[in-house]
Amino acid sequence: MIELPVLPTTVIGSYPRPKWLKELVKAAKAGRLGKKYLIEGFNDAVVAVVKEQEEVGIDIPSDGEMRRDEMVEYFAERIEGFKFYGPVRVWGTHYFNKPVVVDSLRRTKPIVLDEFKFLMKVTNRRVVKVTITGPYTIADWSFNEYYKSKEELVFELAKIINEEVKELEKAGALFVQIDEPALTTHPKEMEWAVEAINEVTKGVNIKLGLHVCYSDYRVLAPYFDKLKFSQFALEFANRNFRDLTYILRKLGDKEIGLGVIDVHNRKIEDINAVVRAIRKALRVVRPEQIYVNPDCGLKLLSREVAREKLRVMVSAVKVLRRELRRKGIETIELRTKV
Amino acid sequence: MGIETALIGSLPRPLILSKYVGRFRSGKISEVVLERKYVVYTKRALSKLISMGYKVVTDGMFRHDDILNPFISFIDGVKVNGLYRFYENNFFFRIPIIEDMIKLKKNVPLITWYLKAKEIVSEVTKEEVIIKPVIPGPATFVSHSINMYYKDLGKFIADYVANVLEPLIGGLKKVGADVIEIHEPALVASRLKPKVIDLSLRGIYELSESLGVKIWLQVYFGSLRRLVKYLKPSADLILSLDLVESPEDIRLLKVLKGVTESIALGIVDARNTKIERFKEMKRVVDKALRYSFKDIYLCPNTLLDFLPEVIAYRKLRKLARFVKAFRGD
Repeated sequence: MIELPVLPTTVIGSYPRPKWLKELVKAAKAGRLGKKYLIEGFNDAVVAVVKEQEEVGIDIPSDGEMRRDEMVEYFAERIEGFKFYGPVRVWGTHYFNKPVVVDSLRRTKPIVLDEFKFLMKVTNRRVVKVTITGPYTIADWSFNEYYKSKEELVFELAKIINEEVKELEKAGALFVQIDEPALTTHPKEMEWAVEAINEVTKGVNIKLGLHVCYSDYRVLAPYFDKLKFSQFALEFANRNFRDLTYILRKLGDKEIGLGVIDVHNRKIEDINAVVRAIRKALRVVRPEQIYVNPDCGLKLLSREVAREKLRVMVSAVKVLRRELRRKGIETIELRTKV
Repeated sequence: MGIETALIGSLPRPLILSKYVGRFRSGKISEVVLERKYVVYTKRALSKLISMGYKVVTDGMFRHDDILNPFISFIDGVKVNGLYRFYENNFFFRIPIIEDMIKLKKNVPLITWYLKAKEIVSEVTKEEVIIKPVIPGPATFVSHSINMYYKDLGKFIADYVANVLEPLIGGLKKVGADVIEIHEPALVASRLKPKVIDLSLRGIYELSESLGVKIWLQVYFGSLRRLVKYLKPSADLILSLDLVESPEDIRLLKVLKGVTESIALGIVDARNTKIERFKEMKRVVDKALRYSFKDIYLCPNTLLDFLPEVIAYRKLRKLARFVKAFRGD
């Protein structure tokens, strides 16, 4: 049995890339830096951001997704059958290389296994979080020129991701989070989308979380029970904790990854406000059901702001842990069962 | 009866131009430099389109982030807020918060931008090319706003029509814009109250009549079916349908013949990279020809922002080739 302190603190996944790494990536893209040096840069950056997370007191760190430019692009580049025609606008002056499915999809080698192995080498934590973009989001944010339907494409991707998760489990991973920000955008597709996402969990016995953000949680909530994940990491700070009680009441026995830090706002949260938010959740669910995390990945913030926000989050958790200790609740079990 | 190709809404803004926009916003280049870039890239895009045979275009909307921005920053009473998803797309727009009575600001650059686009076209060709300024319609504006001011939705729509659209379209008309492209995805893709649909369409008809402009009413992401009962006969209305999202709307042409002489058919899928085939396009046009519209325009079904630049042009070129082949040019 693996124990964690009650109200374990974690991140959603991404962390701001150090400025020097951004320069290295730019140089590598322009052909001015070899692959070997870029990998060295990525590794050094992972060491730096993992230490940063550990130093502020994060219980379950990630590698900050230092190697990933974008959450869909990264996976599409590593699965055979995708192609890229060029950047597509997401908002304002922000673009991403939207992949195109042009052939039958194949996983020819592990996608994030090396990321996990390196992370385990450099962290002093027993449990880390490995994030994988979910099949529905990859499909929704890609063009499909090959499969007859989006549904067929999502199920195909789910099989590939399931293989990846199993391989991570074999390598010792204890906690994998599937990121599905697009999941609720087409409510009519929810029934089969949930079935497809569940394919990812088949034959897997480690902890699996599902992250859904900036979405209509009233579309998601009816599926909490059906989704074979023990934890739902959701964004609440951005929406001023609207719908929190409603969502928690629908949670049943599962866990919430409670988003208490707004990642789209540079303003550092007030510790009391974070304490209040967690207390609000504690009024509805048991302490054992709550993990505490930011709303989403931190990569759009500056490194200093990200670090300070995490520090506030951890400090708020410490306040509540003192209260829970008085009630005899100090640790929880890393739960894998759905 | 004429069949023409048309561009609606935006072209994909080149990444390099967006980088200049970003550099301008962070104070690294001046407005003069950015303006020069806008002209260069708009000219490049319009030259391509005109050489393909497009006679009805927009300026490609390179100055815009989305259909509401920077437009909403030219309206008093509006605060520009955070990012919101644009329908079910992985595309986001900055949402307007209505904090006070809305009113178009003085000396908005939209008229200058239109004039610049006209100037570019006259440099590119001596032939007549129609350029349509693109403006969000009343239903789309109100349903994509966070309204903190108006207690009455009717008053909100009326103010948008009278205080924003009327002076703006009036100003554009004065400098030669005879066709205005009004984007109204909300009319077909959002769950609107009948009152909102009715007031919005009524506002559009009134503007067209009082200002003497043709309105190109652009809907997308849904079927026009629910609008039919609100439409009235007008020679100054060009209805543009999204036949990719709602192919069944082709059956509405019989009814639409009674309200408009000109129809635009969105047959190029601006949300998928697969290139359309002549056979598919011909099938739609053959059906449309049964109803003797004065003008039939063929165009993308929605904004081309959703596609990579190279694919967008490939699709537009194919459409132009189809029209030429169909007409026997």
